[in-house]
Amino acid sequence: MITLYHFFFLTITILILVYMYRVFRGPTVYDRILGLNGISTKAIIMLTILGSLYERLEMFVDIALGYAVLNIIGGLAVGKYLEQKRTREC
Amino acid sequence: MSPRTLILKTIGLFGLWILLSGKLDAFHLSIGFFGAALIAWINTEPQHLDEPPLPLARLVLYLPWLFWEVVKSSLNITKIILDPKLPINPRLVQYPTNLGSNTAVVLLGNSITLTPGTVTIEVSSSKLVIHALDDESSNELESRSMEQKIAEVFHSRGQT
Amino acid sequence: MLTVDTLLIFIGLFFLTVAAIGVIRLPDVFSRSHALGITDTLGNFFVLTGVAFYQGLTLADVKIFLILLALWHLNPVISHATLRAALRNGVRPWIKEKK
Repeated sequence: MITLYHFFFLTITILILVYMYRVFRGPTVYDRILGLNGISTKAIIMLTILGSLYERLEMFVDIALGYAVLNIIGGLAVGKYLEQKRTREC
Repeated sequence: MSPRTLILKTIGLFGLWILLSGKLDAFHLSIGFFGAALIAWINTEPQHLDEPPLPLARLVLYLPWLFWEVVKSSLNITKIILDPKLPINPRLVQYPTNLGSNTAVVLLGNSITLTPGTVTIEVSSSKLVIHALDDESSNELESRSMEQKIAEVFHSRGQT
Repeated sequence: MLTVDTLLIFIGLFFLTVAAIGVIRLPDVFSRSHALGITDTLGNFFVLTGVAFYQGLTLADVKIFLILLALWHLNPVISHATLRAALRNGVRPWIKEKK
């Protein structure tokens, strides 16, 4: 049975593809990082919507919480690394 | 670190454990209590004593105002993005500030970045470099309403 | 059919779509981070609040609130770190040409 939540899931998948365009195309490496940050935020939202779809929100919310913490640590680490590396080319 | 801070930290971590586990039997509660106490004891590094304590009550009153600002500027940026002509005018703004404590400057920078249309790029204790997307958001920045709000949060009763 | 949770999620998806369009249309990395700011604040707020309304009040709602709090506090830090790295490594902001 198709519900509205399937539609939400599909929309977020399409949005992730749009961000993937920016990640592959981006002129500088910082555009790619911003795109990846957007993708991981969408993945957190997608996990909670999947939890509602499968009626097991408690389990999926735990995964989303862990994913949020990983996303934050990873984005901050890459940002600090690039700041020290002095990369000019891309 | 005083024992009071240690106990407060333990209670906070234990509350977080209960929220995340959701189980109330003796086994999980005891494991959570010992874990919280251990983590609070490991993190006993000296605090920054020159910073004033965070005024939590007035900070909670500041958050709804911040949320309303976020909604207003988000609608503004939404209008700009959906406009076919894309009327943007990006610029870098030097923003000197005289909020005393580092905590207040961190709160200011975080609020500025959270508001769509302005992003903090460089930060020091007396100056911020901010990228503003269009005229309206940079005017909003120049009016310094956010800095006044934060100064009220931190200084209204703490200094007298 | 159109209950409170689906209405909130629709509003949130609208903001997420606008942010994705902005990430494609805007000219440089500094401007794109403004578009991502909409996602980080309003889009996340509406979608996650909608999901929290879906099952009524359970323990999962508290965890969703924790996720929202973490995202609101720490996404600005990530975009600040990325943009500071960009500025310090010589990326100049795009400026409108004088006509």
